[in-house]
Formats: sequence, structure tokens, C-alpha cells
Amino acid sequence: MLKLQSITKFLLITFAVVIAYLIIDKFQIYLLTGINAQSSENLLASYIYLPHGLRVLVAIVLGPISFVGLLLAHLITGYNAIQSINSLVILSSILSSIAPYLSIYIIYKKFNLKIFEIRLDKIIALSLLSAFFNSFFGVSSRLIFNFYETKIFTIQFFQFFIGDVLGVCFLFFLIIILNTLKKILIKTK
Amino acid sequence: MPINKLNKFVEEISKLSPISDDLLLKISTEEIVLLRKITKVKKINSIILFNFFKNKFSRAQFYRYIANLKKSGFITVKNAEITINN
Repeated sequence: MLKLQSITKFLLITFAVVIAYLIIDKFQIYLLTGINAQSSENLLASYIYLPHGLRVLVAIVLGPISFVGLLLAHLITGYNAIQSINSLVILSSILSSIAPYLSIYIIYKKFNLKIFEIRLDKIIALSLLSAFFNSFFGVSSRLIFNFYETKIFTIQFFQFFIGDVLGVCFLFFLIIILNTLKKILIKTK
Repeated sequence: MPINKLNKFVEEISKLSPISDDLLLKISTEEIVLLRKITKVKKINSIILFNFFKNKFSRAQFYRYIANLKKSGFITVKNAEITINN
């Protein structure tokens, strides 16, 4: 019985994470159509990479159980971007999905967080560290598979890093706005 | 529970907001309507004021709103006379 409950929980979380990730990916493309970004591919995580903010949120709130969901979602968006699942998509998906959990482990020395351990300073540190890892892994895997040809590692790394950090900031900004609106609505009811 | 963790996460992130809970509107829409009326006349007797709103809310609600406005420092109530604070 307990096993069935765990499996159901895992499946629900995986499904929810995939759906949330795909929605936020589409939302990002919609937001950035103004700068000629029709898919995740031509965004190249260089402007504002909202899914990274979601990754941080999901990793903190749901813990390692959400890893499969994040990985699947990343593979799907990777496939949507280049219309194939090649070694680059698989490697970058695995590494990018690992990044937030690795950051949690470095900061907390564990993967599953308790409620009282979720603090603003740690969230900010985690977001920055996670953006660093994601950028490093993302650019490294692309360089391994000669994705860029002539591009220099540091330039690409900073583009990715800024995109990830801005993505996290944007998601936090959205959360703040929605939370403030919720409070106002409750008060005026 | 994930929902508790999510609430805690949102609560922590909201600390970054320049709009604190104190700055959020502390008064209800009914209180705003009352305050608007008091602001217009500057000084009014509470019974006369209540008569303006007796179709909108009960006497108990009226005095609760007045108490809230007084507590928030918007008005002064003395001998049933309500005065708007500058």
C-alpha cells in the first residue's frame, strides 16, 4: 500500500514538473518573441532563462524525487529545439538537471530540505551556485560536441550565467507580484 | 509536505519585495468608503455618519470599521464626533 502511494506520488510529481517546465518554457518563448526567439534553441539561454528559476524552485520544494521530471522536461524541450535527441541533448539535460541538486548538496550537505531550512540567504546562494553549475555544464557539454565551433568558453559561460541568474530573478519577481496581489485580494474581500 | 515548503519558499522570496505587509492596504473597501465621506466633511457625528450607510452595513460592522480607522490613525473619535486626522 505504502509502495503504491510512493509510486503515485512520484508519478504525480514527475508529471506536474514536466507540465510546469513546458509551460514556463513556452511562456519564456512568448515573452521573448520580440527579440526573434521562436524556440529554446535560438534563445540559447542567453537572455532570460526562466526554466532555470523553475529548476531551483522545484529542487528546493520537491527535493530529489523531482529529478526525473526535470530531466524528462529538459529532454522534451531539447528535442523541440533541435528536432532530435542526440548525445548533446542527453548530456546537457542530465548535467543541467543535476545542477540545482548539486548546489543544494554543497550548501546544505543533503538533498531533502526541511521547511525551517528554506531561508532567503540560502535560496539566493543556491540560485547563484546553481546558475554557475548550469552554465558551466551547459557550455562545457556544447564545447565537447563542437556545438559552437569558434565561440570562446568564457563569453558563452557568462551569457549562460547571466541568462540563468536573470531567469531566477524574473521568476522571483513573478512570485513576489502574485503573492502581493493575493494579499491585496484577500484584504479587499 | 511540498505545499508547506512552497509557502515557505514564497514567504522567503517575498522578503525581497519593496512592498511590505505594513505598506499594503490595511483598510477594507468599506473602510475606504467611510473614510472618503469623513474626509469630505472633515468632522461628523457618528450617528449621522451611520445613517448614511445604514443600508450598506450593520451598526456592529460600522463601529468595527470606525474602530479600525481610529486604530490606524486616520480619524479621531471624541464624544461621538469623528474628525479626520491630517
